[in-house]
Amino acid sequence: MVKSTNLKINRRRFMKGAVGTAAAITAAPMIAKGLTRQAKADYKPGTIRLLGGASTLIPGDWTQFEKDTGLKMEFSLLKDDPGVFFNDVMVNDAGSRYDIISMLAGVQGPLVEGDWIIPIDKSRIPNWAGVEPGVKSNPQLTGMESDVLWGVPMYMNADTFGYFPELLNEPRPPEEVSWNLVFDNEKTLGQSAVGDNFYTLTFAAAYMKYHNLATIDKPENMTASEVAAVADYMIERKKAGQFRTYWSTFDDQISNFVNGETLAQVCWEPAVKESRKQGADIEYAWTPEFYIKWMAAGFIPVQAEDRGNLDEIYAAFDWFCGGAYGALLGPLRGYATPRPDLALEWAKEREYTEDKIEAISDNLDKLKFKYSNPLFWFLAVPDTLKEHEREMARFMNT
Amino acid sequence: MVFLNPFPRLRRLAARGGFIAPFTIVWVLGVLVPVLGVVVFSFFDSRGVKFIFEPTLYAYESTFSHAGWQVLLRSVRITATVTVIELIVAYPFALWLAKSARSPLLKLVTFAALTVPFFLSPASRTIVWRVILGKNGLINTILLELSIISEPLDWLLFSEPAVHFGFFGPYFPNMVWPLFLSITLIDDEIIEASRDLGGGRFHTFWHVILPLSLPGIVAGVIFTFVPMMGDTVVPQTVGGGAVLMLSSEINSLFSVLNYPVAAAVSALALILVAVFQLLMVLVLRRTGGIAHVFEGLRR
Amino acid sequence: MTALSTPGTIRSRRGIMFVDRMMRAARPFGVAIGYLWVTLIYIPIVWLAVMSVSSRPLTGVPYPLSLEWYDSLFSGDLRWLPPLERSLILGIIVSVLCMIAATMVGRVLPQLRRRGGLLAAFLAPLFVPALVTGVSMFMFYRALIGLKLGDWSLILAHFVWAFPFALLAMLVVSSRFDIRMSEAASDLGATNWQRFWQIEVPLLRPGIIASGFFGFLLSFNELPLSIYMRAGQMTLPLHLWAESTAHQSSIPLIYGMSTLVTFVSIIIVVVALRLLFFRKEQQ
Repeated sequence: MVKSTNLKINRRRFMKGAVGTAAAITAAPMIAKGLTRQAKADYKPGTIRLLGGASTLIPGDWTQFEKDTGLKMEFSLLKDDPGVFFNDVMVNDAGSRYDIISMLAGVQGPLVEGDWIIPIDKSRIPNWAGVEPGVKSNPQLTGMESDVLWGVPMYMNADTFGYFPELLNEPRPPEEVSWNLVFDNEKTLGQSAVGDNFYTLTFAAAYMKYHNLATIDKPENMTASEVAAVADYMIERKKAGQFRTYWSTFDDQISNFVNGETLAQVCWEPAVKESRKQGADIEYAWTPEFYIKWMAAGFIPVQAEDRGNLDEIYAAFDWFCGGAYGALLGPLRGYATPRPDLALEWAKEREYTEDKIEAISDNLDKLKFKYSNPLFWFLAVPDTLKEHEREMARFMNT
Repeated sequence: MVFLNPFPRLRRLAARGGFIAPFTIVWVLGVLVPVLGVVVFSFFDSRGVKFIFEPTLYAYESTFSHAGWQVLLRSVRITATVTVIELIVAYPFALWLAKSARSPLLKLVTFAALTVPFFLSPASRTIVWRVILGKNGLINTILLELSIISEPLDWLLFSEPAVHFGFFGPYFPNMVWPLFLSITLIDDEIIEASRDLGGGRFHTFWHVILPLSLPGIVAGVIFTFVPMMGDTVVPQTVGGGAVLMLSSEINSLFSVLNYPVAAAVSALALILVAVFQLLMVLVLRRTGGIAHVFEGLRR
Repeated sequence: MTALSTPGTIRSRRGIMFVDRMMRAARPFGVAIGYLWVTLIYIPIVWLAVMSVSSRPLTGVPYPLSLEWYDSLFSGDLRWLPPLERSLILGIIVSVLCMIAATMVGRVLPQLRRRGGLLAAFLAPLFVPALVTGVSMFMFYRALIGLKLGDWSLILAHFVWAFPFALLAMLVVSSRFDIRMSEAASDLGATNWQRFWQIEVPLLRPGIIASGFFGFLLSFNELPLSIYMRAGQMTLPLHLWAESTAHQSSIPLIYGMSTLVTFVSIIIVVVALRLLFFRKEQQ
């Protein structure tokens, strides 16, 4: 190789550049900190910036919201995963960028503890008065032991599992079938599926509690030793060859049904609707044991207080508690909103088609029935979060 | 670089190649130091998103009581197996491509086919294997039609063999390229000389081609092994959550904000990979170092 | 074609000839398996494209054919537009950074005497699993220094991921670059800048353009590092990732969008490769 005289970098010049750059780098964090602080507080009056999971959406369409409230909606998508949510709020300061942050109710524990959100003033949400008492006083929204309201519910459901009634020779809803189709049944051996995160242990705990397989106080908020017992049971079932696969996405759930990989699978209700459209003859179970009663809630980040647009935020919450949202979301996903009664009214006023109105009122009945089951309100973040994750990893690794 | 014109000093600096020094410093401090820093973090505990800077072995204790250790071993086992298989498959192919393939068009198409995958996102397309390998998938259907099996094979998907299989395609180019580059470097005259001296095909291969392509083998093994360790797609999609590897472990630790253990698992992976590469490079010492592989790029 | 036996055990000439014949016979077989492996790369790509025009993509059966996914991709919910825009902008920024950095480093590196260590430092991200790089950089910048992540951290992550490839592309050109040419120019009285701008840059142009293309594509498709280094921003891969847990199907996005992105990417790579390796032969 030819050595060029001109291009040669001598030691001295290299060192000179190096020292200068090192100094610049040491200064960089301070400069960057200043910049981020400056960019913090810009908010747009008349616009609600909402961070939420994709299920919150009425596909691409906030015209009804904007017409009813006079506010503009700026929606940002968040992966529907409490871990990602925590990272966004506590690590990446989502509160300075959004007016409402939405996630599964029950995640607020660490947020309350770290002063990331402020309590809700119920009196500023007119539609709140008519919300079902069971929902209103829900421990998921108030925190386990206080009567302060931290989040406003937006939509909710009672989850179970999907199954093939014909192939399994089981009845269709509203007749009940047992959760053993997922956890412990010869007929589904090697053909049932659960999710790949630690919520699976929570569901198994509810099953064990109902059948007295272990002493578990609260399946939704287990102690470390209870989680370990549940994991042991699940490992035993896994070794018996019960589970075919562990899904992580919505499309996983559908493809497992549609491709005949599983006969019974813990899943979300819209996955059953979608799989049916693709030709799988499945039902969403009604069960004697328990329902995973969950809701998505909106929280107000503490930064909103300084911005002075609380009135607009409460107006937005009132809309989510009103009839329009329920009437739009209900037929689409089978989810209920805080005021299903208003939703039905709203739909009737606007002369919805028969089947849509029926879907909304069906939802009402279904939810009333499912929600009457005492087991159990789902808590997105149990106190022993790390133990839950560790035990789940142990189960998955067996 | 026209926009540098208003700055004569910068311009002169650029022209003389003076940017390489500051850039190297930025690169080392801004990229390499943080990456190595994970080893340091693994010795601290954290609360929320902040580390508590008191040295502790908490994270490593948890890694061993946690499944992290098993995951690491499994990742290494699967990755090593696939790497060996890729080497066995890729070597004859690279040898042929470098020394025997004649058609320029075929070579051109093959080169392109082996380069394109580096720049595509694997996330979306891997899901397609499910409908091919599944219980009612293409392969089972064909085997059943031909009466080779009487019941669908359920280990074709959501199993360790499936994960191995899923890795074959995506990491093949990583192995072929370094092998190809190092074999191209071997002078045809040396090979011919060996033949002229009466060395047979095998003799020439064993005593001439193989030793001279050793840098390529080492580079290929590293380029296949390392990224496969951190693959986020195949274990999830083809393994169906039944075969946990490094990525799912770290993601799940992150989702409960368990940074110290995530750092410990990452640090162990980093150390493992580093030791492995060091051994590889030591093997190479005699043959002139890994940089030789890139000399092949000159042709 | 691994060793069937060590040479020492083959004593007779007949034995050697036998092994040689075996090797010759095995060659087509080895080549065929190699191409089989190449096929394994492309089956999912082609299948994805086929499924994107099937009305039931998750079943794996192409029929009945339908364009409904593309239709709902473009007429329905256009929420993927802002992430796409952000990905394009990020891609262009990273691409420009890669071009500049790869040129500055790539033109000097082959002339340095002790280049091995530097080369290893610049290619280091290739030797660390991407996931580990992401986790470590996140912890360093967010937890240790306490910086707020933002666009800068995404750009940094993408650059770290793309730069080694861009540098390799540049080295392909710059290491066969004939230094005597620019020395001749100096002898003729050209200034450093003139020499750089009028002689080197045109010679290095294929490498510059290729590193730009590669930088763009690697940034555009990057996911593992982005997951840790983002601060609420959505790139297209992040958007797909977030949609995957939505209680609604992301089929139009996954199949339709991915097919489009894949094929545009293939075209860009092929163009870049042409520039890089087959330009000279044409002229």
